[in-house]
Amino acid sequence: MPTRIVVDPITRIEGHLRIEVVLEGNKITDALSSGTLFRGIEKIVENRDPRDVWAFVQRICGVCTHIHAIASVRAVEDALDYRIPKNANYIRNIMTLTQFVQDHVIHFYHLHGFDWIDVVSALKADPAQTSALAQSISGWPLSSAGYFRDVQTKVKTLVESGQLGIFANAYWGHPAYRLPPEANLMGVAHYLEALNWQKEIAKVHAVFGGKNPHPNYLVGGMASAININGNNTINIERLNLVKTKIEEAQTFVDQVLMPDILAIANFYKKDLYGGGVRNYLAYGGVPTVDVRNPDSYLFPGGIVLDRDLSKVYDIDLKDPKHIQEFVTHSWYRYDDPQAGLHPWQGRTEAQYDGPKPPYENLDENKRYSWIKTPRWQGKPMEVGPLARFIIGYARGNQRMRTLVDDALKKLDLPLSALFSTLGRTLARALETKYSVDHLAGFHADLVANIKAGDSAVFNPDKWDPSTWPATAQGVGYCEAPRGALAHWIKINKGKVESYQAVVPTTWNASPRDAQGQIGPYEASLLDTPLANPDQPLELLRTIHSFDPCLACATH
Amino acid sequence: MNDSSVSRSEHQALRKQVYVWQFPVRLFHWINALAITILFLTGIYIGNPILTPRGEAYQNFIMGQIRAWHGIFAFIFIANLLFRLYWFWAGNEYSKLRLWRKEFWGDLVATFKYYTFMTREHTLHLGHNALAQLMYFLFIWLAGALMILTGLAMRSGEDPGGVLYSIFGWVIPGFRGEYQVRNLHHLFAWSYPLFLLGHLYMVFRQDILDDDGTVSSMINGYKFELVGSGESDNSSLPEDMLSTAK
Amino acid sequence: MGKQGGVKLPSSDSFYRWARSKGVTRRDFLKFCTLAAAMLGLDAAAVPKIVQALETKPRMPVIYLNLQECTCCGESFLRSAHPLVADLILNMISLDYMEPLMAAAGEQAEAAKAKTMKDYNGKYLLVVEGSPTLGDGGIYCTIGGKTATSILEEAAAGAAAVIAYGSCATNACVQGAYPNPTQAVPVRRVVTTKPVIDVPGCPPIAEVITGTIVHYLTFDKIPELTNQGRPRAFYEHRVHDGCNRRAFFDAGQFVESFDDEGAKQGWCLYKMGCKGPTTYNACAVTQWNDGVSYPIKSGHPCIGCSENNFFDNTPFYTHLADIPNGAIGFNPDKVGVGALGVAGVGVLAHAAATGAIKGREKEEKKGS
Ligand code: HEM
Ligand code: HEM
Ligand code: NFV
Ligand code: SF4
Ligand code: SF4
Ligand code: F3S
Ligand SMILES: [Mg+2]
Repeated sequence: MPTRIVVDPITRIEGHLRIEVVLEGNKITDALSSGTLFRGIEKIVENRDPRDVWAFVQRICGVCTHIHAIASVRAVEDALDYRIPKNANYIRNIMTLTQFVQDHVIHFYHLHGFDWIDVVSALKADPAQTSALAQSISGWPLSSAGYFRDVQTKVKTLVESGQLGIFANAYWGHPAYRLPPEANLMGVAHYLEALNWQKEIAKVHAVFGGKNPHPNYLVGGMASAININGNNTINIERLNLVKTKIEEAQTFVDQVLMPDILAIANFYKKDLYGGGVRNYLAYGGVPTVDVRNPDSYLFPGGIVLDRDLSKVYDIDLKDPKHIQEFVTHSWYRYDDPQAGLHPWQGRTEAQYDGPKPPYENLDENKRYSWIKTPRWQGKPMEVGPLARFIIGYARGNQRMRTLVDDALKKLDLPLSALFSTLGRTLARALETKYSVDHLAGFHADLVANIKAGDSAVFNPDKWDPSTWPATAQGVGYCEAPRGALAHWIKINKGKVESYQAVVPTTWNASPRDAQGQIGPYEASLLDTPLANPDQPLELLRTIHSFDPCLACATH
Repeated sequence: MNDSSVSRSEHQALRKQVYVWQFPVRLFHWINALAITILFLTGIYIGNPILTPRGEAYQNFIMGQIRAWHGIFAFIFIANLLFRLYWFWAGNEYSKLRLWRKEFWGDLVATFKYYTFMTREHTLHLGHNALAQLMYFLFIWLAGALMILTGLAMRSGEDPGGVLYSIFGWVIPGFRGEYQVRNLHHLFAWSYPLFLLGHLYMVFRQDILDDDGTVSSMINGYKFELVGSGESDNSSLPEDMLSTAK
Repeated sequence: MGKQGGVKLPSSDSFYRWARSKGVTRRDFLKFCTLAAAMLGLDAAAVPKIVQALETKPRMPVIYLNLQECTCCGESFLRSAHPLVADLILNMISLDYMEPLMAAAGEQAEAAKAKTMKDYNGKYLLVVEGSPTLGDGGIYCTIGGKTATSILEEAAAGAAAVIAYGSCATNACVQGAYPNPTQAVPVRRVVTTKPVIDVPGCPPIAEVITGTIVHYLTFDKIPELTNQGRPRAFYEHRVHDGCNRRAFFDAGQFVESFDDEGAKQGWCLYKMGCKGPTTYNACAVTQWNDGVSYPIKSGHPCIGCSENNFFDNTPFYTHLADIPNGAIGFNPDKVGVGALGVAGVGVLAHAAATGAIKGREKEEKKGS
């Protein structure tokens, strides 16, 4: 007798995600993923000044803060054929990689950590053994027995108080937790350290964008003027601040994150469920030279179908047949509800016909989500760090290959192990390493370019709307922490005529399409076991491995 | 009535000089005109500061200066209007503004018809006609109140612990934020040149058509009235308010 | 193990005892109190009060709701440096419900919230990030099958006080901008029976929200508010009045185009559309990310993110916004000049008509 279980809210994510699964025994036989928040930002930016739009759409999400602004200014720049100075490109890259590192670390420890780390088990740990474990895998200085004892005491006092706060009511002691108490204690300590550290790397955004979250951007470049002899501009003090934060980040990733992921993965390496759909997509991103030159991208773009790494397909974001969004199972109105629309033709008109709240269940045969259903040539695609690494690997990116091969070798796992919940989480950690290592490079590029006498950060040529054509359309794309992101804009007489964003979590969390094909979240749950249906820990683990962002997905 | 079939000398003989604008009204008028002119010019400058001096910041104080003058004339403007409010009560018949009187609305219709050429003759006034009164009410009193309210609210924000703030602070949340207050202040500033354009046109037109001394009246206080025309709406005025031509 | 404890703190327990039991020295504790005082803008005389408060108070339960939002405010909260957010949520308050951070999910998460609402009825602090939405019966934001708006109403009913955290909560922010497709409204519109403290910003500075919470913990009452309902300590003054570019404003030295000579001298961003002159926020003084910068310092004009309506006070890069708003409005100067032009033409036409008609009248009279 199949039972239906609902997890809503899915916590430790951004936004409001509802998962319903049909369970036969301990096996999930069907799954439904629903985004339950809608704001209508695509409608709100209509008729506005295209130069303003980045600020509106940046508010699509504050967890992957900054990235929608990048997509937006690029969309406008693409439409207007607007080139930006070298320095602006370097600064945007520094900010993007900073965001990757910060977001991925927060995700690993604070959003995903409790899926692997049992806090209550940490109370049983021997601090001396924890210290030995920590020192055996890393040179991170905070590793004495006394230190771990303090952390343990902190948690113990909390638990004993009865006011458990954020630790209350979780699945502690669940059989799917596999770490020994000592590793759990180390994990808890790093949870707290990461919480303190993440605010430091965010300072890089503050230097160039004035604040984090939601730093400022500018169509045509950046607003942070460079004058190395100025006292109210980007000068050597500012550059040094950035450099210091990058170096600290490098240390943190090398000495805390990387050893942790490998240690944890080692205990979970038999749990290779959660692979999901077999297709992977990346638009490509972080242009070392120029966004017009995809060969210069740090993250190569492309498509891998059916997990076949021998062939990578190209994507054309402007081709109406490549990318389409369906609303067959979403609460929106299209003239033809079965049709898929390319984003330049796309529409966002809410039309709710779901159950009246409060409700018990949604129905996968009807419309059940505020998330639209994007497809590449009709196929569902997984996006994100795993997709980027698979495509990078298939494209022959040496650095990515080495990172993957080394990690898998250490874990004694085959390449196919990547197609799993654990693989997704591992790929994200590898990407953090890949990103942090390139940060220093872009900082050096920026300094070298300034040294060569180029201090421009903004190109004024096309700032004035009177220089624009009467109509124009463009697409701005990039890789966001959670995957491929693009915004499509149409400009008419200096105003936004239409605006559509197709966002990483839209791809991953999408409901069924017109053909009834399920999306990555739903597919990944089909082979995720549940040891105890009352405590769906593995379900959370698989869903969290995508790092869901629902504000992004629905916008 | 500018009846050109009457010779110039005959015309003179038929006219009586009337003391309409008492000195306080004239003084008010010219202070008001000066204050508004300066407020508008400095205000627009604040909105569009076009001069960009070189050198160190401490050597220059252009924006600060302009804002200071805007502030000074703002308070002159306010004081002047307050005085005029008093003079509505203390002044002569011509100094009043009585929108609530039945005659006012009848006159408004008649004057409107006159200005749209639907009738040839206008009602006779030594003070201002109803349309003019309405314009003063809208552009000087209503717009002025709005400018003062929004202006003082913005000013009060500089010292949120201060007296001004306790009186006018409510305006800011009232308009959903100071930016809207400021934008409205700027938008309504345009009502003044708009008024001035109409005002000057009407004043000079009146003077030319009727040759009644309207323009000079705001300087010396006197206007001319046709004697015995029987059309005067001022026949009920006390004698001492009318003075005969020398 | 794994159970939510039913043990309530004995009323004699305090933050100080708590801290001591965790090995915090009295010296560290006093240092913390001094810092907290400095942050709240209090003088040294207030320190003993804080010390005393923290020595006698139990940890306050906090329910943090996420409604219609982007979670940036939550992210900003995590960036708090003083107090460190870890200190706040583990030692100073009991963060019993906050979707992005809490370990429990689904029913268990909802149960944790229900328990706090019951056990601490009238005593918990409710922090709300995001806007309630009234459109079509609230279906634009649901959690656990319930509308976010009903969840807010329910949670507010038993709260001691409500903090509307971030511009979404205080003014509906971007989703409330024209045409506000989901009828997003400020928290105040829904919560009418409890004191609501507005902490606006998109997002607010980290230390502003943690400071507001600590103020409440420390002094046992809500902070003094401005007439816009915001803590005076952070929102009393305009960004402009403490701006590091203010000297250039008064001098009249303005950036005319991004990255021009003025920009490279750090001149004032007024002509680039800076909303600092009308924006009440602590950015210029407290600054962001532990004092690193704030938008204007890094060369971008303030967009007025703590103000009502700021997403309709656009376009951003002009001093004057379109009226009534950036999606359907007109620039006030264009309206003014346009009206003046029309009036000018009207006057000329009227003068011409006067000349013609009066001329004809004269002819008629002559002819008669
Ligand atoms: C900013 C400029 C001006 C403003 C705001 C202004 C405003 C006013 C106001 C409020 C009145 C009504 C007086 C009262 O009842 O207290 C008035 C009357 C008058 N003003 Fe002005 N004025 C301006 C400029 C001028 C100028 C430049 C002239 C002359 C060339 C002028 C001539 C007159 C005359 C003759 C009257 C009496 C009009 C009548 O009989 O209706 N004004 N003005
Ligand atoms: C005839 C009356 C007035 C006119 C035409 C006028 C016009 C203006 C204009 C055009 C601005 C620029 C707004 C902008 O673009 O930011 C301005 C600003 C301002 N006005 Fe007025 N104004 C008038 C009366 C007043 C009054 C009575 C006050 C009262 C104190 C006042 C106080 C201010 C203030 C505080 C500002 C902002 C300037 C700043 O802080 O930089 N104004 N005004
Ligand atoms: N999905 C998503 Fe984002 C990311 N990464 C968007 O572009 O998180 Ni809010
Ligand atoms: S106020 Fe701004 S930053 Fe905060 S949640 Fe809303 S959109 Fe995000
Ligand atoms: S930059 Fe903005 S806030 Fe700063 S002085 Fe200029 S106008 Fe004021
Ligand atoms: S945009 Fe917001 S962050 Fe501060 S400087 Fe302006 S209020
Ligand atoms: Mg979209």
